[in-house]
Amino acid sequence: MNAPPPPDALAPHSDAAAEEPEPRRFQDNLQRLTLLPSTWQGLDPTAIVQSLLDTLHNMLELDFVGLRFSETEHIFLRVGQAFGAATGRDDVAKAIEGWLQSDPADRPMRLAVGGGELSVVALPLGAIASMGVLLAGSLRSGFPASSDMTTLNIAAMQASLACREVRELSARKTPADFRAEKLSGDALARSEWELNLAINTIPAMVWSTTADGRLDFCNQHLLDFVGLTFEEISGLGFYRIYHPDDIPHVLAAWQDIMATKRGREVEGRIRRGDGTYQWFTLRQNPLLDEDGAVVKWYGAIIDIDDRKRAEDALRETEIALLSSERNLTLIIDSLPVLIWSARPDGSADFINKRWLEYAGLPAEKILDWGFLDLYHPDDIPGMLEIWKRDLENGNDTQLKGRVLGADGTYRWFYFRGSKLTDANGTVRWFGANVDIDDLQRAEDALRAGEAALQQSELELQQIVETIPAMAWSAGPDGMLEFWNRNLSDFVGLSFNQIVGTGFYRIFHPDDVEPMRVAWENTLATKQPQDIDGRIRRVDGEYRWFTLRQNPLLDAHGNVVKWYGIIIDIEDRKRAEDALRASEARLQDSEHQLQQIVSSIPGLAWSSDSRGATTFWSQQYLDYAGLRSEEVLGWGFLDHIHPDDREHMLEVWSATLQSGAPGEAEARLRRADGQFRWFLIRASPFHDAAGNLTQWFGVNVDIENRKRAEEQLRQSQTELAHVTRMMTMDELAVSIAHEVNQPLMAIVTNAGTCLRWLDDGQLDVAMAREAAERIVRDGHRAGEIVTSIRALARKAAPRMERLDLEKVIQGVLDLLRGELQRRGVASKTEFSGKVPSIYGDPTQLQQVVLNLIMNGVEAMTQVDEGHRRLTVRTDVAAGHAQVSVQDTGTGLDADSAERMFEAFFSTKPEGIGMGLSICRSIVEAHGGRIRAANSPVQGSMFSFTLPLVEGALIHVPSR
Amino acid sequence: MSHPAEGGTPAVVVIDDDQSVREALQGLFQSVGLVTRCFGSVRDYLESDHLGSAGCVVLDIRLPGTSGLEFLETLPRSDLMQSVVLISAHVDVQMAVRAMKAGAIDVLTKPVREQDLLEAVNRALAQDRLRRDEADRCAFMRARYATLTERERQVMTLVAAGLLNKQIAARVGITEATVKLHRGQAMRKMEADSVPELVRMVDFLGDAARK
Repeated sequence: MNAPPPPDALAPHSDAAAEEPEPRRFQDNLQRLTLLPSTWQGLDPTAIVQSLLDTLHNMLELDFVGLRFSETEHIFLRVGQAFGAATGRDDVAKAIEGWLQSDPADRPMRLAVGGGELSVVALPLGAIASMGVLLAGSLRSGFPASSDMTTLNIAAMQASLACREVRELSARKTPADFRAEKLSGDALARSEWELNLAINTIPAMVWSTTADGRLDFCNQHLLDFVGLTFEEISGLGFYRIYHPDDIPHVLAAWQDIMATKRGREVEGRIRRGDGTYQWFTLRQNPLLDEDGAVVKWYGAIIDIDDRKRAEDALRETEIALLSSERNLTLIIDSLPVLIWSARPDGSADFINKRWLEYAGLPAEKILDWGFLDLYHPDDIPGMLEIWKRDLENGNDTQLKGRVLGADGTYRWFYFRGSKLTDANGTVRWFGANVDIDDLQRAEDALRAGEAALQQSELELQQIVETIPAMAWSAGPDGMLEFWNRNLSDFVGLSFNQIVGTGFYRIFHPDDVEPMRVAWENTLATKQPQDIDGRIRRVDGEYRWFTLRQNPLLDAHGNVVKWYGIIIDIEDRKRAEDALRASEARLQDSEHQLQQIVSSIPGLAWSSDSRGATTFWSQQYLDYAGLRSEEVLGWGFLDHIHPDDREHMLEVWSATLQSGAPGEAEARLRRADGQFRWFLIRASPFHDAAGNLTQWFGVNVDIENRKRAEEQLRQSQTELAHVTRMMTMDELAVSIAHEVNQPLMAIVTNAGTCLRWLDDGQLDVAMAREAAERIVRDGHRAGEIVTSIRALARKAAPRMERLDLEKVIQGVLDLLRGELQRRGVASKTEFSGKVPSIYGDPTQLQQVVLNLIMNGVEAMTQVDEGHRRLTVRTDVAAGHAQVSVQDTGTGLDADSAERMFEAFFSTKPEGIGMGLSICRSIVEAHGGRIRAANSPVQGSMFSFTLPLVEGALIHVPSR
Repeated sequence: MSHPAEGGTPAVVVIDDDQSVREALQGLFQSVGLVTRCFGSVRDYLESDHLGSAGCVVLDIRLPGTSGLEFLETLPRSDLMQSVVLISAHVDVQMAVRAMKAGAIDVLTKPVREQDLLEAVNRALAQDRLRRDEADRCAFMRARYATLTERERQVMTLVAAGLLNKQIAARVGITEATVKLHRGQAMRKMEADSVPELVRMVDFLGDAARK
């Protein structure tokens, strides 16, 4: 029996395998070892041992490998060529013998062999080394690696298994090949079972064919992988497992293998059960008989899909690399960076096009050391220092500096260079400069920004603490983690009291449960929602708030934190409540409106646009004791006091004409015939188009007010009278003089008249003259007496049309004596065009009298020759104006303000009513009164009265 | 200062600010044949050339500017010769006393009965006339007196004092005959018809000098 060639020799790509990465090689080794027994023919233990040792020797690059069975002293030994040359084979065997005597442990140790020392390991054959030991040694550093140990262990197992088989079989009638002979009995069954077990548990797909290439066996792995039954792929059916594209070359290779009787690797894609294809290598070895004829082919299918894919990728990369080399120049020139290369001394020998464009200079100006001229003078020393240092010691360099551009400005660049030593040992530096000007500026800005950021963080903290809102944050689980000062101040609790779930205590007990449900719902859905609830203020009052929150999410959408604020909605809540209440009220309003119309303390009515009444409320009908039809239209006029009717009609028609709201006062007859005063108000109603369609009015009983007014007027009248009397009393002497003058003249004239009628000197002409003077003076006396009587009169005001200048003159006449007595020179400047006014002569005389006497009093401190009083009249803006100017001491500011107040007096003996009464009189006449200092000297009092033509005079009826 | 009595017709000066009153008074005085001059104020009167002329003044106490009373009280100082009748609407006792002290003929209350006024005016005119005559006599005698020698004035004074010639001669230290001579000379120069008349003259002069 010839030993088969070691499986190693069968591998066609052994060189390629050497380059394969370690794990892959390890895997291949294991596969090879597991398949090894299938190549052992016959039961010659020597052949088996030799095959195993050869395989291990090549596989693990061992300097020696040996096997010693426990029964014999002989050591089967393979010594590596190089090792064997230096150390004799016998020396090795001797060293091993000595080592084995020392009962070696099954762990690596050092063994001195010949001149050297190598790592050795001894592995037991069989569980307790009952069969022998496998020995391996290598000078290789790191031996034995764990992969080496595994490989050796498996090899030892294979060897022990095979040897045990051989030993057992040799004890019986030994067939040439147990696989060619039919075993019988228990032993056969056991052997087949063990084999089956071994075959089916090894992690590879194995198969065998007949000599002519028909599949007659495959293990379960293969069936499982292709998802077919043995029947389907037995014989020539196994071709179907290949990719259709691969079948031709697999078939060709297989025929070639059968012809040459030499196995080799064939690659092809195999269809997996799920329809996908994977790359595999098919390995096979022939079983030859003594004549060298093939008895059987044994094979394995090894997965190389990963390798294939790596190879494809590599190919693609190589293609890309080729095309990229073509583009390199283009790329270098078009890269948006300044690219250069430099000699070992640091001078430049290449710059790209961008560099030239940037500098705006020809290449020769920059190459060698020309580039230094473009560096910023401030940067050159530092840059050169680094560059020189890195040239000497470094493999790369990094610089930063400003480079002058074609536009005349310096820009910041980042220089990066690397040293490259090529296969010939030539050194060159390659580098690129990146424009970082903007970056540099940004950095500068950033540094400033960081300072600002720190500040702003501080401010943010302050803001959060001081914003006029209550802010908080909570963890993803809803536990409160932070709240700001506003919130803690508001509820008056410390953070410890409300942290986590403690915050529920700030809510109204009735709200806690619904809020908890809402909050948990928010946490679960991560959907923010407004949650309303009452929060207890530190003083115990509850206010309504809205809790509004927002989640901070991470990249995966998980909540990192909840941030929220609490918004006071108390006012809104109240407004809502109020709104609800008002809506409820609105529903009742129509009903109530009815009630209102029928219960308001006024008499409601309406009329058409022309003023004819169309409705009167029941109250009026009740008041007047009339039926509706008696007052509708214009019927209501009949029930107005006759004295008021005309005035009423005037006002009503004026109101109708103006289209604006109006009012009037009139007496309305009651059912019992008594008249009561009413304030009658009317407002226009416009339809949607803006047309005045109706008037609505209400009459309010003002009888009591009227009476009060009447009483007030009476009191005022009495007061005015009293003050008049007081004035009269003061003026009694002067007034008497004024009355006496005409009387004196009359009496004298009468005496004269009589004398001319005396018999002795009868002269009728002269008597007539005297008599005429009597008549004239008599009238004058009458006028004065009338004035006095007017002033002394105590009667209700009587408005009449009167001549203002006459009124003034009358007063002046009356006061002439008094003015003389007081040394006051009076003067009138009448405009002569003051038309009639409406007024009460007595009251107006009182005003003039008071103002004149006021002026006279003001001049007592002035020398007699300078006491001048001027009374003027004028017309302006629809008003008559009367002014009394004196040359007295004038008014101080305070007096001017309070001059017209009651009981204000600058005179010790005055009661302070005079000017106050003047004002009430003037204002009752629709005028105004004021006091001011005269521009020259003294003061000027003036009052205005509306002219008859321009103004409506309210005529109180009698 | 003294205006010589020109012998012009006496006139009634009326000063009243009320024209009616002025006209009425003028009419009244006209009816009794008196010449009347009317002024509205004291100032107007003082500025006229009728100041000091014969007659009297009818004056209202209450006047614009200088009042009637003030005017009256200043009269002696300005040496106005006219007699004054005051009239006023309201006359109280104090005012009347002041007026009379100031030399008013009468103070009448308006309205004045025309008879009362005329009587007062007549009295005033008479007084005025008397005063003017007296003033004339006084001036006449003073003129005579001015012609006497010192010795003649001495002798005349002593004669008026009732001394006899012999006593005079002894007092003065001249002879009795010389006394007679001076006495005769004085009577002739003074135009005295008798010794008693001379005595009255000396008294008058003495009174006037005392005034």
